[in-house]
Amino acid sequence: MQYLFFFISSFLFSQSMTASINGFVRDDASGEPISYANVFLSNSSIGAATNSDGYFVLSGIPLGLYEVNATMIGYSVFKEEVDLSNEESLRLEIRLIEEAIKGTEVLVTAERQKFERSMESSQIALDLREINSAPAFVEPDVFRTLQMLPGVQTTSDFSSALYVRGSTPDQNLIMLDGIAIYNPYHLGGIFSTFNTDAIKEADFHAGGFPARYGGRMGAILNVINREGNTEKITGSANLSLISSKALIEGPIPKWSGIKGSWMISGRRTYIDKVVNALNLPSGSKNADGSDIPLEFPYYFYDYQIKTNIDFNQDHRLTFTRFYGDDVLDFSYEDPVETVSNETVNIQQESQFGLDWPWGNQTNGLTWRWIVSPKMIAKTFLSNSRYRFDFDLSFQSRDTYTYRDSTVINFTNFNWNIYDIIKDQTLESEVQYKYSNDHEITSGFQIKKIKFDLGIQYDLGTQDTSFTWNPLSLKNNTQEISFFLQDRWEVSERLKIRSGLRLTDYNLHKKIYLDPRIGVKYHISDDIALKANWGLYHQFLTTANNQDENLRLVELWLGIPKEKPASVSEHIIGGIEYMSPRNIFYRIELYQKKFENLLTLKQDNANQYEGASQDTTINEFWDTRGNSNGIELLVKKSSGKFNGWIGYTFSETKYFTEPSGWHNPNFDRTHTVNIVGNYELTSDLELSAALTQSSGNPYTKILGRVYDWEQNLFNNSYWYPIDSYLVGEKNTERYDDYFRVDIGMTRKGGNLFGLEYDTYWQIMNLTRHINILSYRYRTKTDPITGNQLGVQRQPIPMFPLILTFGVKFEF
Amino acid sequence: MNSNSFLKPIFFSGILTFFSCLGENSWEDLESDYDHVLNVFGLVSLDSLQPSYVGLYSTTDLDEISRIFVGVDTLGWCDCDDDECGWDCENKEIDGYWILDSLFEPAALIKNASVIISDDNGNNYDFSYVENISLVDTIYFDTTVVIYGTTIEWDTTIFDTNNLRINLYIDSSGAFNPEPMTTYNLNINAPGYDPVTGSLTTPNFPSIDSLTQLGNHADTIIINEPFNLYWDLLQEGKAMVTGEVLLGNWWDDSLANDWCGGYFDPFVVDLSDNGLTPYTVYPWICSENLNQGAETRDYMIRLTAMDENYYDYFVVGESGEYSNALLNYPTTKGRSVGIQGGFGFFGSIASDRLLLKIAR
Repeated sequence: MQYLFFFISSFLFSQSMTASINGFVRDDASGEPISYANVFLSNSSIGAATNSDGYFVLSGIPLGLYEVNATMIGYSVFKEEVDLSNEESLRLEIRLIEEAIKGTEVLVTAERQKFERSMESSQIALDLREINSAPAFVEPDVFRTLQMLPGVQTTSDFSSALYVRGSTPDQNLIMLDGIAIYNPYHLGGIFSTFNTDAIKEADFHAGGFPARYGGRMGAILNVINREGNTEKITGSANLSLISSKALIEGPIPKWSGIKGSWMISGRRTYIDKVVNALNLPSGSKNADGSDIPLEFPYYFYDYQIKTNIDFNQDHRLTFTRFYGDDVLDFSYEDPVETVSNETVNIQQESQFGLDWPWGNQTNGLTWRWIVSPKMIAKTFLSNSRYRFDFDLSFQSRDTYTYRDSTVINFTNFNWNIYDIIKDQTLESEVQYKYSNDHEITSGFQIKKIKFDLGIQYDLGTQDTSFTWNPLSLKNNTQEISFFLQDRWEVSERLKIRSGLRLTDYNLHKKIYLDPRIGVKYHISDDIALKANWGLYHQFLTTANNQDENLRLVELWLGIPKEKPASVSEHIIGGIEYMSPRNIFYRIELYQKKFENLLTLKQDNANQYEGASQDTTINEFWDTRGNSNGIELLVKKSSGKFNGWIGYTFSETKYFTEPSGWHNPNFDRTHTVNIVGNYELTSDLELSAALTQSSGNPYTKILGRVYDWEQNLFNNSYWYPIDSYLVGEKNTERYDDYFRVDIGMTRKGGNLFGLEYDTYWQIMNLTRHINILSYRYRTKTDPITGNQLGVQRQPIPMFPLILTFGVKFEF
Repeated sequence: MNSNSFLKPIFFSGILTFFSCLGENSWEDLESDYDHVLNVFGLVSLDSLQPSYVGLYSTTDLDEISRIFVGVDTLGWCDCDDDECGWDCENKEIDGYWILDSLFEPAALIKNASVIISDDNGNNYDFSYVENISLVDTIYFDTTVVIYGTTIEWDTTIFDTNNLRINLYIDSSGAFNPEPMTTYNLNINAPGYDPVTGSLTTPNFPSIDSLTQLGNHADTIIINEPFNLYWDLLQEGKAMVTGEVLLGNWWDDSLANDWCGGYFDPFVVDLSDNGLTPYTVYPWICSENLNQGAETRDYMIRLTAMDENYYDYFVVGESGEYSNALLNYPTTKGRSVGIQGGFGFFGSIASDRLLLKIAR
């Protein structure tokens, strides 16, 4: 904590003949902080933008009388006279009143604030309106919207996972209010775990992120939830084809100067409830001949809680909790069969069960302390747990009842695959505006992660029982990190942010250094050049098959002791232009190099060296790679028509020993995304999204060849295995991907006094067949039985799908 | 909002989704364009019970025939009194019928190649293509009967000749008797294909020293108990250990399931490694009641030494290059172990066996 004392003491002893203004900018109706609001003094060049907490500081103000202005698109302008003749520091609580946007009259927008303030390349902050603007599968999804941004790719429609600039999803740090989430998906990746109704903003860094973020090589996504309405209790409910969502928020009653807010949101799918309620026959019968009803065994749910308590104007405590689970719970019991003759009565019973929950749970406590107007300290204490627990069981029991005895034969079999991650993190950071030119941020993070990945078989019979653990990988890792970064405004045009992150990884007993630097140079008020360079180490990986088209879950592991930490180098350069009409243009070039990646070895046909090698989950190829690309973004955030156009040229190559250099299966060379949202009338909005991209790579089948297997039992013999002869890895590509989605939202409905919006979406409007994979078969002559040639059939992704929903607000 | 507001979207979504599923997802024929090579299985066996042979094929195109019908073989008579034959019997009202098995030949089979194995001493052994071998089964019946108190000793012997399709290249001269620790070379020339050459050094004969169980030297074996296996140390070499209950005809023997406890996962040992001898063998655990009332059988432990090629091909194996659950077949980039110019392998084995009676 020495550095903290250093900052505090340097502040206390600093002398100043100037004053400062600090405070928060909030929405007057809800009390939600407003990010990127512009706060400035009239007839002065002094101004600042609010951060994601709505906080601002204007410092270095000569003593005198001033008019403080606060502006934000969609809100009326705030003006207030202040007297800084005697004050050294003034705290303002600014409330902005929402008003209708007056088209082109709005000159200052959040986009311009972001353009002027942001130092980082490749960063985009999406607000709720933008997240909702892209048509999504069934319901709005932040990940689906992010997939429409340049640099972000996906493997299929069925996955909302983010492949960013050559990085796989495990290389992304996904956070909810700053807490890491390890598997942020529902239903095998079709939906993300984040309920958009609760989201205030999503801050996404595709690369080149600053030193305060660590432990990942790819991208950063911090989803920030709403704080909750500080003025009154409000809520919303959303019914879609598959799920219901609800959100309620309100103020904490004020007591002795303590105030605050709370927000609770939840979501659950209800297909299981609908199917079960219909009482449809499953086709199986009970022992008494009655139908066994059909049960839909799957559902997912999640809920989020956020509470803020302001003890006074300087101290705030925030508690956040997220809990989400997918549950596949299925059991089947055979009707009891009884057979008997003169000597014995045999009763046979059996049952089968599958209990498969997987999901995330996080809890976080954040203490925000405004030490002084120029210094804010934040301390996080959080835990995050990911659990994947596949439990398949089978029981049978045969009872033989003789005249004078009873014999019971039973078998109990259990197959368990599990992956449990427990992450406990203590993190503290101090943001200190040392002078008008320097803003220093420093902090530390202690992260302890327990990984427990395993497979276990249990067999019990009347004679014996045994437990077999063919895979048991446990490691407890600890990362202790320290970072220091400085934002230096060298001149009005030149800004430099430099930083260093040091990480001690307990399994390696080594300090890893991650230096990072970013430079921004304003050629003019509207045009800026940006460049970023940095090293990024990662201390965990996933054990998933590299060729899989559908990734149900990610199996996480800490980087083993004997393997070096994965590292990536980012080099990014770009130019940004904010047009007078507030249309944002960006061109970026990037190069990423990867070293010490781990690629799971694919299935080995032969395993004789010992029982523990029955699985290959713990065997990896050492992998290196690189990714290069050019990205173009044109984004219009204000006005009746808004949206963006993104283009990405990308080439990613990985090297493994058996495959040489090859494109990974997520690599798409060219991608064009167009997202548009048009407010046709005050109560009718239309939206559309178009994606055209190169097809994903796959490995071509060339012909057929024999491999041989051995049988050394019962007179040795060797038999041929008809195999496909494959070409070089991933040198073929599926046909180009193309999809158009459209959506419509009608607002202003009223049902029994409740306001509601209805929305419709059509996905894949043109019914384009986008290929997920091929399946193959060998033709057989039905008369001779001769095996003829090989055929293939494409397996398509989404067909045309119409979805709709309704959202109530109260 | 009324019920109509909900029903309309449900109706339209159903209609649209139905039509959207009528996409053009037809099967398409695949074609290939690559240079074919020979596909070789070459085995030099020092095992007296296992002949040496070479199987020779080529890689094939995706639009080629891969299996050709060449005839039928009689598998047996299905009696309509047997429940398993019921369906045909009921429909055709017959007493039973012969079951015929279709015989196929790989389309990629190469029959006209020159296959030569030579040794260090300059001896060349021609291996020639053989389609069928004839096996003569001798079946002995003891039909001794007692009539009116008189015992009539009457034995019957039936000779049954079976033609077995092997489609292999074998040493028909009988002169090829491979020796341990000897280098052998393979030369294959087939019209239209690049020649294939190969080389191997045969392994030394392995030797099982003894077996102990429950702390004692074992003359018989309890097949559900772990045992320790000892072998004579050699300077080098790997060997595979297997074990099995010897049943007359494993597939037809109704007692086969009673002996499942006699098996264990095959494993590989280093014949030069002192640290691994004795090697403790744990048998499979069965849920059934074992060998209750079963006739006692012999148990065979087998130690099969492998040359480097055999070890690389069958034990080290190939790390899967590409996996796709939708392919229906395994995949390979084409392996060449011990040969050049084609895919496949040229390897060698030598075995020792230990026969024990199963303890009751």
